[in-house]
Amino acid sequence: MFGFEKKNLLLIFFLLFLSLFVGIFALRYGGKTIPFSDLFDRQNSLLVVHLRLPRILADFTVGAGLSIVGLSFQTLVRNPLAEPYLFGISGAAALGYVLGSIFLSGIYSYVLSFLLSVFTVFFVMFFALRDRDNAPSSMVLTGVAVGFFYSSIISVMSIFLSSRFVKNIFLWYLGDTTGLTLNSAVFSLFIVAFFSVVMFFDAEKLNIYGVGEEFAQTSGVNIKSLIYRQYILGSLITAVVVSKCGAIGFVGLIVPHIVKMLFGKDNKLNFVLTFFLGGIFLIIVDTLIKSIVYPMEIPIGVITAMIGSPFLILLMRKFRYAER
Amino acid sequence: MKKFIFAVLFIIFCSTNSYALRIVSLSPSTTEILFKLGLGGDIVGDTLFSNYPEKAKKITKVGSYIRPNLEKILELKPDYVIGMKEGMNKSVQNKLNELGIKNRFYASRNVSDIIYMIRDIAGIFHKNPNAVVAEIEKYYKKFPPAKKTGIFVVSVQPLIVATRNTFVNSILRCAGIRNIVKDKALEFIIIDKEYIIKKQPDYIIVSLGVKKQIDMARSFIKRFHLKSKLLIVDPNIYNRPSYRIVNACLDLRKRTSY
Repeated sequence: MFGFEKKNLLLIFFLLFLSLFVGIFALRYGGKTIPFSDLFDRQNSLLVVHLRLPRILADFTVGAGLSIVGLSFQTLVRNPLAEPYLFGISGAAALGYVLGSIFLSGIYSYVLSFLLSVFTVFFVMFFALRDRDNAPSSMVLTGVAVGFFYSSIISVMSIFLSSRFVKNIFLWYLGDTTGLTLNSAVFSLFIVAFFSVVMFFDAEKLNIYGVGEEFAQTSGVNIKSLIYRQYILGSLITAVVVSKCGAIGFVGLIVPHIVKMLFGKDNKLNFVLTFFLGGIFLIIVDTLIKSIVYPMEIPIGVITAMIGSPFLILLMRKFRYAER
Repeated sequence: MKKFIFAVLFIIFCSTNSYALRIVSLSPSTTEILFKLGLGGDIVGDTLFSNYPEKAKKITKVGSYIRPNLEKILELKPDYVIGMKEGMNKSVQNKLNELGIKNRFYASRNVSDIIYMIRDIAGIFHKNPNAVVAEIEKYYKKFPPAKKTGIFVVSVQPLIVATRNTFVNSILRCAGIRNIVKDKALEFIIIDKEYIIKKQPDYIIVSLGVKKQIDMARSFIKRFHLKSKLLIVDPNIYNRPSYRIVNACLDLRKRTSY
């Protein structure tokens, strides 16, 4: 199926079931631990179906979506440090959404979020692709600078707007998977999964592109359209995730690298594995943290940054030595 | 005789609360108001900084003021969740609606907002707000002419002050003080320290509980030889939009040359 070996197909099915299992298992935890037998009991239905389930779905959506975007961008710009947050795309999506919700409304805030992300992808990647000799870390600097620029605009706006709105923006920007209704959580997961599948169809081409651009051209891959397609899809996923759950960083860095370390470099397999493992990763982290600090809440973006920053430093060291 | 006994029983039945309400109060000011209206015993959950009256400290906490834990709220099975719009994440309200928990969130820009909030809460739980409201209106309906100027500081570093669009401004007006900070839209803003030096208000009112910041304010006044008088006030009374703005007004009148 889809040209996977039997062994890998089994692995994929295993991860699919693991995701379901982790998702259901995580439903048990939070304030009080509910035994499996009472999980779908009527008296727990509000708590489980409308509070824990949307949060777990949102966790999965964010983890899976951002990880797959990270993997794709890392291959496209041949930069191990490419990631929506570090490359300023999350910041762009956030600013677009904020501007949209102030000056426009409804669907337009998502559209603006998407447009600004696409613009930023092309802007940052343009620099990344032009200075091919540059170290991966210098490309990250461009992205980080762009990200700072966007968040500074958000800060300036927050000074001129009423304090109620400011705190809303601030809290949401830190990353928050608790606010989604069941409908919007299911809807976001569906959209992100759909775009991920579309991205997956390019995996084989990305493999060829990974070998070298000339090789890809002689193999009949239309590089330009491949790059544009992946950029746009990546921006779409980022825009959906960020406008729903805020700018959650480093997930797109951590998960793809672990997958590559464990399973090698076949993008086709890695796309699927990254999707599921990214989702599982964030469900586990969020469930663990919320159970530990209960009844307080710590924004999930803060936690991923805590895990991700040391990871980034390790990666930068590793790849700096590799370049020499 | 039988009729009489029934009538007595009926009256007793009506006057005692036959079924207890369960209220979660998400902000210190709503907690105060609920207690004042005699609903303190019905509060099953409040937040970290709810410290007035003393009893409020012992109530189960549902997290912090800006980020309450929804699961904890649900666990308490409240009939009503009450909080302030200011500082509250809109998604909390959306989530409460989805969970089918009745909720009210109130604005607190000015004194009429506070009075509206008290009347509304009293209305929901069938209490009489008139005494509380009358007390507020006694001081806040008409203000004395402003003879002095002042500035209300909620943070020294960075310098954050209350503008004329706040209920805090009314506390100043109630004590005959004119706020030197005007702004068309915002409530609390960061301003330049030079503005204070230039305007030299009669009173610099610092509403803070942090000693280090208070010391900073002191040394600032000393260093620039300001003629302004420094007043340190209790933020738990001055910064909360509740009926205790009356206490704040009386306190300020006492401490200024009103």
